[in-house]
Amino acid sequence: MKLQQYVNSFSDPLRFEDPTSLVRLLTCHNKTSRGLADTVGVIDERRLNNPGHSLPEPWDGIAIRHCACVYALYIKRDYTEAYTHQSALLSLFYRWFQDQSAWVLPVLYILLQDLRDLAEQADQGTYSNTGKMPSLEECTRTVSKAFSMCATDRTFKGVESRRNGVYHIACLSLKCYFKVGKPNLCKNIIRAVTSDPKTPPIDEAPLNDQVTWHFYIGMLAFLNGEDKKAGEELEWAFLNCPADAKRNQELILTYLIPLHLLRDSLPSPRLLSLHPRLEELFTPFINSIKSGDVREYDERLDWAQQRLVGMSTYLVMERAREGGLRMLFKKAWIASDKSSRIPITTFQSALKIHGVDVDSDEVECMVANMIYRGYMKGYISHEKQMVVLAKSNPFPNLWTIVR
Amino acid sequence: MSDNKQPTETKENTAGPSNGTTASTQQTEKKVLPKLGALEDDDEFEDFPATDYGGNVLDAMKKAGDGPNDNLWEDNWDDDDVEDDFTKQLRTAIQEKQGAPDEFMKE
Repeated sequence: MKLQQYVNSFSDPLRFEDPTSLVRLLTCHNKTSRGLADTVGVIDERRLNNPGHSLPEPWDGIAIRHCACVYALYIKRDYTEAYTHQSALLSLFYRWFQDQSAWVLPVLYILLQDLRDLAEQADQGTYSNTGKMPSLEECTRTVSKAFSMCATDRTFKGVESRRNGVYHIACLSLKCYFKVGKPNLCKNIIRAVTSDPKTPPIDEAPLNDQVTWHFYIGMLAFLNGEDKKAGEELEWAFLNCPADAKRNQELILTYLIPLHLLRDSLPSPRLLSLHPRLEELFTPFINSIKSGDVREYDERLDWAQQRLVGMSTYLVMERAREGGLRMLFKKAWIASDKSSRIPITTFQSALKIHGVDVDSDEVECMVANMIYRGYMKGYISHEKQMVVLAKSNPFPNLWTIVR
Repeated sequence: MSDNKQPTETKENTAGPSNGTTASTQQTEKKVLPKLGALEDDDEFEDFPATDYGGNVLDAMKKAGDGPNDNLWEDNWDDDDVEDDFTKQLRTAIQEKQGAPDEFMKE
């Protein structure tokens, strides 16, 4: 496609408010863009500064910037230059976007998505040399600007409102914050979304934005130690995640499985069989919880430490060990014919069978902790070195214990 | 940091032989287990289209195998009447203790 022909092809989609055609014309990753890169040739500074007047302002500039961007991307393979053009394109686009309604949101989404991809490519060299990501940091600010333009729409109402884009852009912002290593900034954007009464309800957003939003809210709650909230959000994201988005399911389960283990709720073998890497990681822990083998559990914590720490799930998995200890003590109770009076030494022997050699004071301490947490019902008679258990249901199911 | 490391290493070395068999078997067992490394994957939630789903996760579970066993989580696996090698071993240990003079064992 010749340059002028390409510029002209914007006029109908703009006149008829046709986002699909605009997306096709402006994405950096389709046949049109690669074909364009082959035919348009070099675009010099002069042309960039004087893009012409065949379209409504500032669309000549947007079209020319896109050509310069794909030329840099596919012919020169200069990612930094491609990123710079895309960034300039967005500045032009924002001038126009601030007066538009929701119809143009799909165009905004693709422009920002491409901007972010280009920023990552542009930063690759810089990052390996200096550990810095200047393009991605700038891109994060560009995304924030788009967020404000959506979240503060006072012109359009209802389906027309740019506010319908807040979840999509907010999710993109969250992804950017994680990428540039500033997850602590996520709470600002979340607060901006949730505290504004004019934000449309989440269940009116497209399903992909809903799932992504619930995932990030849940994951951040997980990192913040809010187990209950994290569990609810991630459960929703998981149940509504499309079947073929397997990597996303794997990511959700990475956090959801440890939360379930805390409640002694185990992923079914079939669920694990769909995710081999999770199966490899979690099966040993599940087996040790079931068998009450706390020593094996500790060894597995050591074995998987690097992976768990990398996924920020180590601390929760460490806490889930108590499910194994509960099972071990429960087995001690079963082996004592469910007597309601069990000597501390019985628990000590149970630990010893699994290779955990501890003195009776330490055992008493473990039992006290189990009772304190509600995993066991009863009390300890220290002078008689005896644990007196509740007559009925001394080992309540963990999922019945509300935290 | 390097100053910190030195004394712990020497401590382990001197503690090793005097600590008896349990410590050394523990160490060898641990060595058998190769460490599970970190994943190099991008841990970002991937974009996916808003429409045209081939079903959700529960549908995938049903497809993954025949039979009614398509629940995601097992909440009631914990049985009050398990008898396994462990409980047998523990019973023996308890009986041995009961054989020894211990007034608290008499109920």
